[in-house]
Amino acid sequence: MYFVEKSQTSNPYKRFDYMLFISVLVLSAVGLVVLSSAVRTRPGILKSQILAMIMGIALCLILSIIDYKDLKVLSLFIFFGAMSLMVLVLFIGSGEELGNKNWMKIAGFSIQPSEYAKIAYIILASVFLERIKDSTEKNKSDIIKFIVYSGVAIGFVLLQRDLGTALVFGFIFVIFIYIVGIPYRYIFILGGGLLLSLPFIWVYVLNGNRRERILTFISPDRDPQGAGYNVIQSKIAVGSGQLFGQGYGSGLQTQSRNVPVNESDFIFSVVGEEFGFIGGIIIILLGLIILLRCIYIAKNSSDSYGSFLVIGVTGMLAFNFIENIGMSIGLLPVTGLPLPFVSAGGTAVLANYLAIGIVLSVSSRRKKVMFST
Amino acid sequence: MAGVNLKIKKRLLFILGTFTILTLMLVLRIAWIQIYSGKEYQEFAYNQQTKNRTISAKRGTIYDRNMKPLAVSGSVDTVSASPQEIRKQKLDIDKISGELAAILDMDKETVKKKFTKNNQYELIKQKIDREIGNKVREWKKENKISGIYIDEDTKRFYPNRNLAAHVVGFTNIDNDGLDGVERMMEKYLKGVPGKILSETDASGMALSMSDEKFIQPQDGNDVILTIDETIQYFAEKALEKAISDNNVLNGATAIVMDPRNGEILALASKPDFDLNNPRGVPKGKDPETWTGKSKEDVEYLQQTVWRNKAVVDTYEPGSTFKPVTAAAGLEEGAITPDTQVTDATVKVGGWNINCWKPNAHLHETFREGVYNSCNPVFVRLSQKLGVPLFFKYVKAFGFYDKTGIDLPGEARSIMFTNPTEINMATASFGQRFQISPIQLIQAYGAIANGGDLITPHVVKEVVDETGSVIKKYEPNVVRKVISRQTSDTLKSILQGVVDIGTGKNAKIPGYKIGGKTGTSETIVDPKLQKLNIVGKNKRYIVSFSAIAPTDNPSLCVLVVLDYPDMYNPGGGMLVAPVVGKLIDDILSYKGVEKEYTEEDKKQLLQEVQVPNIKGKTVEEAVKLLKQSKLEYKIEGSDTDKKAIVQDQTPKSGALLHEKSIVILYTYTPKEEATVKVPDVKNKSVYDATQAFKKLGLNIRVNGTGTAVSQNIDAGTKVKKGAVIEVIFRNVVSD
Repeated sequence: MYFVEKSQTSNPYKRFDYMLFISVLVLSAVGLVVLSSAVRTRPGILKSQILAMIMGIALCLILSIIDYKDLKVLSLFIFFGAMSLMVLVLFIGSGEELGNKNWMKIAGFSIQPSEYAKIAYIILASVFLERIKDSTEKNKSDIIKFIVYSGVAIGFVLLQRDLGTALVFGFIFVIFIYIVGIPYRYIFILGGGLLLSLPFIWVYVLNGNRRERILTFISPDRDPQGAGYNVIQSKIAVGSGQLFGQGYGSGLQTQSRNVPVNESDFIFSVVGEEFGFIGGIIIILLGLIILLRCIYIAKNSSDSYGSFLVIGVTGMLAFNFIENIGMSIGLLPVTGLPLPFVSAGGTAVLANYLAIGIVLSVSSRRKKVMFST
Repeated sequence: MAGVNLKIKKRLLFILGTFTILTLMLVLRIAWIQIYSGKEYQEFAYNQQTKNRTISAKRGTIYDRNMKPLAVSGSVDTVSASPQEIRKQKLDIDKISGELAAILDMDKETVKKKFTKNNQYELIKQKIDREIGNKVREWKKENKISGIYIDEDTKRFYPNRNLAAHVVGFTNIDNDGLDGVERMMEKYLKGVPGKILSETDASGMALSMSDEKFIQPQDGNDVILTIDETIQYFAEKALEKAISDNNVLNGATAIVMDPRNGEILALASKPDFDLNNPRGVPKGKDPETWTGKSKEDVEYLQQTVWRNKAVVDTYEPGSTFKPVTAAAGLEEGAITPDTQVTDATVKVGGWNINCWKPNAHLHETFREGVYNSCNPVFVRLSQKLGVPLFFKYVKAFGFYDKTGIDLPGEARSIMFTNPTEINMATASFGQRFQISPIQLIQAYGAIANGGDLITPHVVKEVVDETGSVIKKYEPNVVRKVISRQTSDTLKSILQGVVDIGTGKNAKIPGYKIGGKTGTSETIVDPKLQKLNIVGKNKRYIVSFSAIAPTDNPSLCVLVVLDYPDMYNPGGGMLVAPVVGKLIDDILSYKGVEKEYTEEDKKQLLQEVQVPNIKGKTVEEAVKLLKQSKLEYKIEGSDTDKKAIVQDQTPKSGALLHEKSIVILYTYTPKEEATVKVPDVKNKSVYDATQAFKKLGLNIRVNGTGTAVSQNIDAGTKVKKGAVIEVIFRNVVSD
């Protein structure tokens, strides 16, 4: 299939990015503490979260050893594997009640294929992006392939009516084309086009529930018992944490579960209420360290493929971080994206660790240090 | 080409910058929420949490002055649920909805709807009996359901139902006082509710992981009223009788006050309502469409049964206001009781003002002028005082201010702001301005107690659960209005009004009562038309205001009847006996001895029981009758002393006044009526008695004055000795 140039570095452990890995571990540990408080009456959730993390860390380490360049060979296979799962979920999936149909049960495990699809998309898109970037002349066929595959991926997610994930894909796509070097004038044209298409999205893509969420985002008080309820309750929770928080297991909002899905979508309300501003800063700082470290790795990657892989992962994590926290404090509309490494959800934890594994793999095979670290 | 080119690096740096800025925005926003408005949110969280599941504080009891409970709080249960918690248990929602609905006597679909909501807390049913609450507890335990809560609650009960409804007031389902003392004393009665800050599992045990915070409720304080339940009962009964006797269309009010301290002993307003069901369907409303909660329904309630006419209504007091004019005149020395006055027509600003009996009394003393309620006498007196001085007294008696009674919604009087001569002339006899009944009784209080205007009040004390007094409401003297001397003089005049004047119908032998009648003609305004209160006659408001006993007043009584539907409802004729009877009841209840004057005794014909004389000899019978102070007449040819009495009329056991006649028959009379009952209408008691006696009939006198009706129509044939009841009234108007 593709010609794969193996990395030259002989000992990947020396280049292993401990800073990133440890940051992720610390964030996961902090996440477990927060989660354990949120699910005090539901210990099952905590158990499966710990299990997923152990599996995730193992997969992450394995991936970090494997040369990321091998992914090129499997990229199409992975991509279509993930897409077929996404099709399957349309038929046997659940989750309709919450407005989307994006998870299914396989052998007792609930799986959300779109989480894996994000990574599959990144792996495949990076192949084309590297070719586009590295070829000296215009490379129309790869540009078209990149756009088509991106379209396919986003299309499948939209079929599931999973707006949050579609936005993640969109965000990754935008970052990709930005990094690949699209001239700024095209960015403006694209931005303008998106603005113009908003009314169509409003009418044809969004269902009533979503529209309500966006309207409620603009004015949460328009329906405090309905769509605005989550945001209002979350803000109350975060706000009442004040500087130092109410303390572990002592948040009124958290413990009475006034904030819906506070083990996942609204986990930051638990952080805010029980661990206060200090706790929130710690989470945000850890997130920022991970993102900055990823960008650093992308910058120092030995090749463009590694760089695009990491950029994709960074975009995915960044969007999740910012959107999740932003919606918890009423800054962004509610989309139902989990907070990476903190929110409960086995699939998301596994997927995120896989993504970090890829980043670690890229980092292990980076060039000799060009700048002092 | 190894590595990443410069362009990518530049753009990566841009992205790095963007992420950092976005993150910084998040931090700023979080700081704003947590540090700047954190306190607010925290309070909000706490309130929201505790609002959901509270342990109601027991609302304080309202007692009458003798510690008889008028409003009490009973223990009930309130059922709520956490729909999320219930759904999590994967129960058969349909089944448990049905079961719970059956226990709570609710609609299954309603319960099911509540269970399927996406809430953390949903109220199922409030204020259910403890018995039913226990059934729910058992059911919950048996089925091991969590997420259904049965919390202790309290519910207001009013053991006396309608009694003193407008004073006591009522609460809403959350036990917030809405009316009357319940509303005015809310802060003392309410207490502080307790709070439950965590959940319990199916067996009712606190979940091990959540430490349940339990804040005990603080019960409300008890309020003791100045109202006397018994006197209140007398007042309400008196009003009810007056309303049905006189076909009163627009309700009535009665106030009994202790003039020495302003304590309201009774305050009744009709129509009224059952405090246990204040929103019940009023008479004449369709139960199908009545909700009691719609804006329209509530307005109707407020205009009818909820309306405290004693405090909220204003009316023209009419002649009951004349004592105020008299007080001003006496205090200023403009007149004495014995000053010669005239009731000749007086001309004011082109208007002729006549006495109700035009020019009938002419020259009389001022005292007689009050007895006869002559308008021109008061007009001339006010003219002598002049506008500023006259209105100085009107103001001093409190007619420009609210009394400040501790009941909601007190009306403001409608008074002349810049009074003219004509205003004063009409005001002198109580016309062309409006005051509330409570204002008038406050003024009468000042006349009665030696001149102090005292704020009327219904709350005596607030006590805590140990019975120690937290707050005591002492009499509040607003100002001194008249001297003790003026007060005494005026009381003696008012006593004369009842003894021999227009208030004669209020006389109760043995008690010294002073008072004044009042009538004012008014209109059936659109409001009343809307309420469908339209009678056959003009709308009059008739009233009587009294002080008793006049030598040491302990009572002021005012009764106002709004719109007795009759042709000429003179105030004295209609209301005076109601007030007289009420004062009689109250003073007897309070153990005030009756002191009869010689004149009283003369009027008081004792009633005696007719002895059984059948089968006795005439001699024995006569002896027995003499012992009973009864007269006799023998019918039959055999008048011998030894003759046997075959029959008697009236029968033994009947009650007769002294000196009535008992007929003895020395033969067995046929059961035939032989005597025609005479017509005694318009005759005096004496004349009527004589007319009956002549025919061998007996009279039963009811009231004083001239005969207005008799229980057996004239012309009817009756047996000799029969007893006919005749009602006498002092027919006067003013």
